[in-house]
Amino acid sequence: MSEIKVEQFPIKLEVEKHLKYLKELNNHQDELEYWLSEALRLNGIYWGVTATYILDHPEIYDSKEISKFILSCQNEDGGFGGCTDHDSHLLYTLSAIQVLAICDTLSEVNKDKVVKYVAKLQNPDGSFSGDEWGEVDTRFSYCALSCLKILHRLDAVDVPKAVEYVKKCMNFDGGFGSVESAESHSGQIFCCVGALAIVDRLDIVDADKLGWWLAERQLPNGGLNGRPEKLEDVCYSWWVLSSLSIIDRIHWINKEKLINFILSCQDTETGGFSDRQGDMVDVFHTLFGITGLSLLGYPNLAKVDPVYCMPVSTIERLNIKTRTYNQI
Amino acid sequence: MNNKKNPQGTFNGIRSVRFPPITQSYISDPCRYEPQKVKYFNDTLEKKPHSIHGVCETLDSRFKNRKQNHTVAPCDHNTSQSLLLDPTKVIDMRKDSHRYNFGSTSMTPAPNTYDINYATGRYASNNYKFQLLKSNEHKERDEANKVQLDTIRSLLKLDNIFTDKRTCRRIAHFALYFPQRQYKIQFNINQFIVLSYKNFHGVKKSYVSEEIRNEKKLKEKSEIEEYLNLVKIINEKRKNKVYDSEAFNITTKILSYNVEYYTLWNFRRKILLHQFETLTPEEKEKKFENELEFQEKCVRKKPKSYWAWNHRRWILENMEKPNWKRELLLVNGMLNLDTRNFHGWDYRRYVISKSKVSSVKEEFEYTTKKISQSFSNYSAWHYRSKLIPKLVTKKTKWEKLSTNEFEMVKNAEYTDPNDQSAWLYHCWLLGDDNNLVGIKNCYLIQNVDNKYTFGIELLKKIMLKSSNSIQISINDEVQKVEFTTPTITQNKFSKLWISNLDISNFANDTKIKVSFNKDEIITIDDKKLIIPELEFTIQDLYIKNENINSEIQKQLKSYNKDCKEEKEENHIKIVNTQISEDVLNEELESVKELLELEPDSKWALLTLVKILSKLDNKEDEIIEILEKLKDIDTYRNEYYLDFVSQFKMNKCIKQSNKDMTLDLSSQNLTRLSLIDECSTYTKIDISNNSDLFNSINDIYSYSYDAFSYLINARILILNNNKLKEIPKSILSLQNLTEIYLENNEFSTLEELKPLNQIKSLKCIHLAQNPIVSSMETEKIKEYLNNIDVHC
Ligand SMILES: [Zn+2]
Repeated sequence: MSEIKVEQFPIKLEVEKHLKYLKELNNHQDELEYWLSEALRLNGIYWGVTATYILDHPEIYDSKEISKFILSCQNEDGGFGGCTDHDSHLLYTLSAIQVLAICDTLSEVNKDKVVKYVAKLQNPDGSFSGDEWGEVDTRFSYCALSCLKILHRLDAVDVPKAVEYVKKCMNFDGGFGSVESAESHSGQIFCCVGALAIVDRLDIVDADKLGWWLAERQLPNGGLNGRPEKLEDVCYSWWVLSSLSIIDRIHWINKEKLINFILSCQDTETGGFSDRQGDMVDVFHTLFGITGLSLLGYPNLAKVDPVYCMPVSTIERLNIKTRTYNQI
Repeated sequence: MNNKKNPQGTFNGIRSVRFPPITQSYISDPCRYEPQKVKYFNDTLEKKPHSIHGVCETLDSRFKNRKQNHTVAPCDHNTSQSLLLDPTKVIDMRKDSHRYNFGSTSMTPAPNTYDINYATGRYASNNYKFQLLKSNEHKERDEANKVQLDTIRSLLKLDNIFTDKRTCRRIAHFALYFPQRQYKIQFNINQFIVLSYKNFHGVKKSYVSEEIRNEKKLKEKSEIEEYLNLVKIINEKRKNKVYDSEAFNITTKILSYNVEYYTLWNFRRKILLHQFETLTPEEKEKKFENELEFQEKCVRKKPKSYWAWNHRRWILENMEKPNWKRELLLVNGMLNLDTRNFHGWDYRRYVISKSKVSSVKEEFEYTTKKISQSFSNYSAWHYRSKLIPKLVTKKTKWEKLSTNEFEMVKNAEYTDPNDQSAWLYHCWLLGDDNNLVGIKNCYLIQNVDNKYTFGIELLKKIMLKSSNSIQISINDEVQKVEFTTPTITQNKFSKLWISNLDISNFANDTKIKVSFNKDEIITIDDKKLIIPELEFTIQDLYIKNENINSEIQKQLKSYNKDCKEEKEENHIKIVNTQISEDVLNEELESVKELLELEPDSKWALLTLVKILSKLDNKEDEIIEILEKLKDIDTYRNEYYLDFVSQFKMNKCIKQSNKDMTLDLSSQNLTRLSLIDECSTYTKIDISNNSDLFNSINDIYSYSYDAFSYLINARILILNNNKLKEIPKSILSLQNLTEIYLENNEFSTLEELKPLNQIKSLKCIHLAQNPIVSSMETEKIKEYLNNIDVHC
């Protein structure tokens, strides 16, 4: 693999601007949008914190402050809500555990309570509900398994059943959908392939078929889309790329063209990334632009783990590295 | 029959010209053809009527009114010109027509009819810039169609993923060249062009001055205060479990403002449940109705809100008599607005799973309708792949259904060969390569420690659920054996299963019986495999001089006919497992025809590879196509390289049948895809394939299990590969006695150290490595457990 160099591309990664953008994310309390997006606060913190770590500037946020806030989002049932005074949900429980893991403050949380909350959400067919109201989605399978693996407590759920459910969501194109019979979607594929990687069951994946479908997501402008005949979007740089990486087929797309596309979606004035050029930036696309670049080997970035979407250094510290698909 | 050898390929069948290639001289008027060409075209048609496939269905729905009174025109070269000017005359759409059997789902044009819709569609999409430089005559037409054309042009310019651009082009074409249809086309535009609405992605950045921003903030200040005040009150109520109507009203206020406030959806449900305790069933239903209305209002603001959709499901599931029919209408509306909305499709499947408002057949027809509106609707193709297995019954055979499906994908592919939706579905229809069931090989090898390994190689990956999955008995006595896979990672699904077997006390003609417990073996797609009992003599199983034991192969050939997947009750599962040779050949011809028209069509070439790989001895042809694809589709060139490797390897394996050596040297391989089929070779030469090891060292390529499969390997040759380290999986080879590592890049003892783990190793060849020039052979030898070192 040839080494990627900064000079290869017409624009460079505006690290300073992105750091400034990320740092100021919490300074918008005088804007209505800030309060309306409150329900997503924990996700937002995970996106922001991970982005600063991959940019190799973890000092941007005060990890003590952050951990304190995260812990304030834990509810009596053991799960975490999207913000203080919000109900528990797997989506936020995973984000919470991820951020605590990255900041190395996991010891401060009552793990047994979290494990109990997650385990209770597994259904008899192996699937997971997002919360007590029962919505089922393979995204939640990923949330649950990733969360438990980080806590070294996979034993708390029925892993073979969980695998069986994910397998049921596999489609004719080798991809995965949100529930049985649902259409393949790159975001959902990341969740399913990631979940299978976490429990070491990638043997289920038809890597050649899926890898081909994923590689066909690359459009002439270098960007990736999430489904056939759709538009490109920076966040798919992550969903598609990480999946390709987990099944060891990242070389099936053109890396340089993708790097070019991702870089073109930076806002070079304000910092941050948007879904595509000329749109409004947000922290979600900022993280996935940066992690995409990291997976592609762009220089001077910390390495990101394709399965957990967390810094490799965190994964090594936690000793939860998964085996990745062998080349057969 | 024209048997002239085709200079471009091996195809000898009759060729049909689907649409005369558009050259520069036609651009000013696509309707005018040279009489010579038209005649040739029609002559070809008569010889091979079935090769014309079009998009009649769209025509059918577009020109509804013409159905009753249009005339059927015969298609000969005299009328062609007029036909080209009036598409509706071309196809007889009367149901009883002898020309065209308009079956429920069939879309094939009648024999001898020229599908103008297809042709114009192709023309328009090939010339999407709209050649509007017209003669005076055309100017008049343009004038008449101006409004319409402007609309279409502006739609085409929209940077909008939900606009069906192909349909726009086709309509533009009709508008341009068939002005007499104007009013109808206008009428139909809304039906075909799907507009998007704003979603949370794709919000355009707007540039606002500091001044305006501050002004906005000032305005928002009171709004924020009011909002936060409401949030404060509601949180207080939540904390104290106050389920009163004030709380309910506040949730209404906040949620209509902020649909994503999931906690309040939850609270709202709790309030409702509390209120229900004192309500009559009628009052309850009324409340639910109001709730549905409220949800609809919210979801209209944010159609992709998971939370809002969850709320709707909850309402319906708790209603006494939910009106699922209405839900189906709602979802139809959603999918009309955005044909690819996966919330819509998921909700549709949900509604159908909860009720009987639409049958499998009706759903199937719905996908047909959606696909005919736009071939690019991958969501509908996907849904089809889920419905088809349910449609296959004893009466409706897969063969019959598949004929229709093949026609349909052809229509789509000919309309726009660059649209991947139909091609992906087409590849699925052709069937998976590893769907064959049976035993590929069965053998006994004698290991260097004089113990024996028994191996079973299957055509399909299986998983053994317990140690009783495969049983071996000798002289009717069940042996204690445990089957495993040779890989380090111990994949749960594998084609190759091996176990130790002690046969030292038995004579050569002793019979070994292998039986399979069908309840303990599963395939990846969750099917049980029925594999009858096998019986071989030790002598037959023992691999001596030939890699493929011909005696065993002879016996397996007839035996494999009895292996099959277990059929589920009433549901015959033969979907896309077996495509007959006839169908394959038909498909082959059809794809080759498209390639004559569009020699560089990537998807046609890919499909051609897929078909050829199902036929015997096509490796050379396949490799040639893949090499071409590598140049056409440069972004994915490494994908094609990996597949070239697969077919090259396949060729080498086939050529090696008569001895125990596999020669893979100098093949420029990038991966060893078929190595799980190489477990019986004693000597494997992989020299001069440095790209292969390059990819192993790729930072994101983790474990590399490839070599673990070479369980019978005694000699492994890895010369000329720029190797710096020993591939890990070599270390598990228990029979390896000699390894060639000449002309590589080993420079320190440390790099060679892992070889000490191979207990059977007796000899290593290290010539032309840096370490040889810097160190004495004796020293290396000493370091490597005193095995022979050749430098
Ligand atoms: Zn996105």
